[in-house]
Amino acid sequence: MTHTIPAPERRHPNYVAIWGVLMGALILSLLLAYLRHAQLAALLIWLVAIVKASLVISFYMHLKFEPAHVVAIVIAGVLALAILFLGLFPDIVRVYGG
Amino acid sequence: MSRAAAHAAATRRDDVIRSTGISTGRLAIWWFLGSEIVIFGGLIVCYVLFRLRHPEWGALARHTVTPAGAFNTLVLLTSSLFMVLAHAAVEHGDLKRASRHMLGTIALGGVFLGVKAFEYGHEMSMGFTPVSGLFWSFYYALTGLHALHVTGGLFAILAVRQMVARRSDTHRVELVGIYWHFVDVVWIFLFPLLYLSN
Repeated sequence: MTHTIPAPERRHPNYVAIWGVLMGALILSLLLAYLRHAQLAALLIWLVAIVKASLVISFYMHLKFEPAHVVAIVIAGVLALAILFLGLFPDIVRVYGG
Repeated sequence: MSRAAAHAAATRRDDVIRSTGISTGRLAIWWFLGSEIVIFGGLIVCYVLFRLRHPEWGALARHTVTPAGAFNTLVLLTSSLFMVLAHAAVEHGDLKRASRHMLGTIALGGVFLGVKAFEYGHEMSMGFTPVSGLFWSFYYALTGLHALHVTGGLFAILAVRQMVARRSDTHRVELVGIYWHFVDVVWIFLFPLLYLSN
């Protein structure tokens, strides 16, 4: 028999304020594209994208309020990608076409 | 049956399983997204690696329509806002408001696909098709797979909106919302990769 308990009442953050921050981050990433230093621009644009994604995942998807084993599902996916990146890096970036 | 009692009955399936600390539906959607991370992420990782190998792709990325990509980012982020507001409205028992917010999400999803179709038309008219080179193959594969997910999400939201209208299984608003936000997160990474990397 599966034991259930009623879903606890969830606190809802200020979603509109988070949307405002996301819009600000979008404008910032567009402005960063005009930086003269291309590599620095790419790095900063990526950082802004990670911040935007973190806000959506944490507050809109409510991952911040989920149990640790749910967070682990996401981390496992990201870890798999990191392994894929490191495994393919020598073949594609250093060898392929070189 | 009173409105509150009907709502309580409709959301009963959101009960938390004691052993997992989460409802079965939410746990299932997160497992599904775990597999989606690897599908989209695998393609994105390969694109990033080839992009590092081919700095000349920056010149090709100039041919993508950056204002349209930026506008679509705004559209998807706003659609996510509507979706999460629909979820909050369901939890407050205001199903009419939830339905209105979901309609907003559906409309914005439609706008996103319309703008994407305009972009494809523009790029193809300039001779950039999926077989014009590796950059364009990645571009069409990544954005096409994403557009497919947006389309699937729109049908799912439409179906859940019908459930909300019938006051049944309203907890699914949250589940389809989590999926929709994931589609948004994927675009958050595709936009700088394909439009701003020039």
